[in-house]
Amino acid sequence: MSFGKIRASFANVGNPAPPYKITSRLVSQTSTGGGFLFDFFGDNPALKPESVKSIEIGTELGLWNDRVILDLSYYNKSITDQIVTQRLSYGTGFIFGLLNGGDVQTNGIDGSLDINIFQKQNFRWNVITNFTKYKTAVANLPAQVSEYYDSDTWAIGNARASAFAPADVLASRFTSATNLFYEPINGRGAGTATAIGGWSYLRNSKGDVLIDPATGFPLRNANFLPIGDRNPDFVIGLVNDFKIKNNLSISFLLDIRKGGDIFNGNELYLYQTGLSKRTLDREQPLTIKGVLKDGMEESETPTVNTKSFIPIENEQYFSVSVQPEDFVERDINWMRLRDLTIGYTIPTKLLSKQNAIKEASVFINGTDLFLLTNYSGADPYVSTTNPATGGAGGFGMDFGKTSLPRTFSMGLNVTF
Amino acid sequence: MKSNIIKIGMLCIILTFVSCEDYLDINKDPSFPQAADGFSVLPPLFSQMARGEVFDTRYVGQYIQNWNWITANNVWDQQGYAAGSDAAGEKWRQHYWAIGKNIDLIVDESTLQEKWDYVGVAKAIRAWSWQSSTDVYGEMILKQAWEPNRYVFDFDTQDLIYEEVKRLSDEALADLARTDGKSSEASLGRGDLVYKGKTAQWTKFVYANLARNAHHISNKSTYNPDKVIEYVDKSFASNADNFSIPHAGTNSNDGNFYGATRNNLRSYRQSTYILSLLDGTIFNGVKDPRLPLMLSASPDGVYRGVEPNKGDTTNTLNKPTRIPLLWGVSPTVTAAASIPGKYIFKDNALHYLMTYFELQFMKAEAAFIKGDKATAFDAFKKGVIAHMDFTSVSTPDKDAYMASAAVPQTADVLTLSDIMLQKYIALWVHGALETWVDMRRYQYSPAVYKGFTLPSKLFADNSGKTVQRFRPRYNSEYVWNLESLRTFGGDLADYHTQELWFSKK
Repeated sequence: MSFGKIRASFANVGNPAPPYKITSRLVSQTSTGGGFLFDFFGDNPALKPESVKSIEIGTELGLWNDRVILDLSYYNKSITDQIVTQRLSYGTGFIFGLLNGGDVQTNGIDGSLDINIFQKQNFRWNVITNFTKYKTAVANLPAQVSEYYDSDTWAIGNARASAFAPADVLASRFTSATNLFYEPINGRGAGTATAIGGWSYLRNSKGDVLIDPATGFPLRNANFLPIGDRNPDFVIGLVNDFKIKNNLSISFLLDIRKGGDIFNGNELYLYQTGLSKRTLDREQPLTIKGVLKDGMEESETPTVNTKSFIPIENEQYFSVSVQPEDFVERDINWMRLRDLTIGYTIPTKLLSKQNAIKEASVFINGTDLFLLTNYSGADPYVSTTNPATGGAGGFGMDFGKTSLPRTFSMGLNVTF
Repeated sequence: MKSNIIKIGMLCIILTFVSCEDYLDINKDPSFPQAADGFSVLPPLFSQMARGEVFDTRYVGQYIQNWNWITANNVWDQQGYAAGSDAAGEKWRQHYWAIGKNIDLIVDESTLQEKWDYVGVAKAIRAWSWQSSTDVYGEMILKQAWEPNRYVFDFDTQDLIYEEVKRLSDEALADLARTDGKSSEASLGRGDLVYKGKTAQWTKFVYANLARNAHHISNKSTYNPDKVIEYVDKSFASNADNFSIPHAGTNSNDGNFYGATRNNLRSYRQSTYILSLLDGTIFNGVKDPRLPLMLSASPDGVYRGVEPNKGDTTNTLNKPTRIPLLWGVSPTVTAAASIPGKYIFKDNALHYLMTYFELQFMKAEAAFIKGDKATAFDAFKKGVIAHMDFTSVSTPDKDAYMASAAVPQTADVLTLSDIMLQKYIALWVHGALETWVDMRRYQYSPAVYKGFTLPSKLFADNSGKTVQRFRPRYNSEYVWNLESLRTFGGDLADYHTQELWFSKK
């Protein structure tokens, strides 16, 4: 060992509310006669600062003359009385409000490993690996609601990026025959801040989808419950740097992600409008797998659905019966070549024959040259929001976004 | 030197106690007011009262077949609803937010200023809002509404809301009658776009709302027709008392929702049912003089309507049978500037929330139920004539219609159906919410609403039942108040088919 360091930090920070959000304001109106009325935002004179507690433990190690450098850290951040902007019940007299609520914890590991594999005169190879893994845990939400959602991510259908109360809390609240919490579907994402909240199908307690005996359509569970967890198992960034004979350099970055669900809103849209390949059989009779909701659905021998219908003649099947649950793709992995750069420095020997140019180099760069993934949509690297929106973000919510572009660039550097 | 230190010290103390308050106060937004006088809050409140009604009339209009949708199989034509949507949640928004706490603002400020007329007007508006909102939603948040620092609410039953309307109305009447303090026609008139500061007319408005409150429970054993007649007699005396909200009509912010500039009605078509009431189909072949004033004929000169669920089958370019828009022009005309509109469908038309003729029909029905046919017949005729005046029918046409076979000529041949059908015509579109109350009181009975047929297909969630109510606004009652909604079936897919308290026996 050539170098070693251990670090630890602890912080407790209070964040105040944004300005001018304590007393409700009146805004001028453009309707006939003008005048003033209360704004959308409600006052909250009882607002408290939120408190953030964070612990970080890390180490930095250099081995074999710093040929190998390891940087590892573990962190735990817990927020209590988090200040959130929430859509409110109109019973408050307002539409939005700022309130304290939510106890959220984030645990994570960040690591980087820098290895100098070859360090010869004519060949150098350096590998840098970055590793990230984190998990959010929601202990409770403001005013004990079941779901907190980011309205900017609610772009299509009844699915949105949400935080949910833990599974046992949801299971105790959604118990009736018309809004059952079904663990294998709705347990996924429960108790996290990175869930996909959406509508699912109504099921009996065994998990069979319930079918309307009159139409043969599946019945919907019209409650926003977790239907997926967008958080990946881990993310790795792998950088390889080669340098040959001081002139040629090659560098590429591989981006690897394991796990995490994606809501394919594009496919839902295409399916509902008859543009998806999945609707090609829409003129054939369709029998939905499930059991009839005929009073026998919770018995030992529920009636298996045999009623068929022709989708193209039943527009309401597409517009009302199909639920976003079908469009959540689970455990999406990817590996992509994020960046490749090849550079060549023209040897000084060649330049020494003239006086005008002192140094010269050329490079070629390509980004997103290939992508390997099990995602059926265009590109799993999507988000419905941008970083300015705040919160846990809209990653994993795919609607109306284009893939990352494949770009090429070339350059020439000359010094006179 | 020493005195300088004292001066600096004193300065510090002053800075600490004064300046911080003024310059570091980040609670009150310096760019916007946090308090306002009644006269500056009242004008937009009127617009919001109209907005709640007109936004939701789009859907109610389809339920009761005032109009129908341009394409086939629309969910609202099928007496259904849009799940997971705020559509048909505008009255909810109006009651709790748009009017909501602004009422308290007026009451608080005006009480300090001893302007009891403003206090009375504010309470009258809230009473009207409770009444007209609970008539579409049934159960609402009453006891806990607007409670500070509360985020989860319990719903209350409709009978309690009906009681609250009476309580608030009594308070409003008392405040409007006060002669002490600083009430004056000039002061109230500054903000009062409707009655120009006349408290006598506001008093009539309160009684008009009380008449609705007493009359909507006509199916109950506790129903008292004499009380309804008493309230009607204390309310509007002519069309001059109608509660009408003005629209400047210069742009889409201050224009009438039904006008061409707002362009909200392009996909709605006059219904077969309203046409059948005006073209003689129902009324013994007598053509109503209001027909050309309210509806419009296709280019070939024939009047046509659209049936629910069927869509407009004439909707093809240059087709001589093509049904015009409600503004009386062909669907090919798109520029709002070239659409003057007609009847209540104009950019600068008044919006009528309650009218003299509505009240006369209410009185006629109450007297009819009581068995006093003479009073019923008199009020019935007054109602029809007042609506003829409202639509600007000429006197000879009006007299001819009143003497025709469409109108019963003596009190003993008057039927309940006559009253309800003439009320349906008179309240067409602008009074759609009240018509929906009527139709639910009689459960869409074709014996009362002659010629009325339910849509060929009802919405899948209805399970074959007719629509009885709107669901509470989806955002965010179904997030925060699901627990309470569940106690009375508010979470069920067919909640909108549950009958309301007011129409039950």
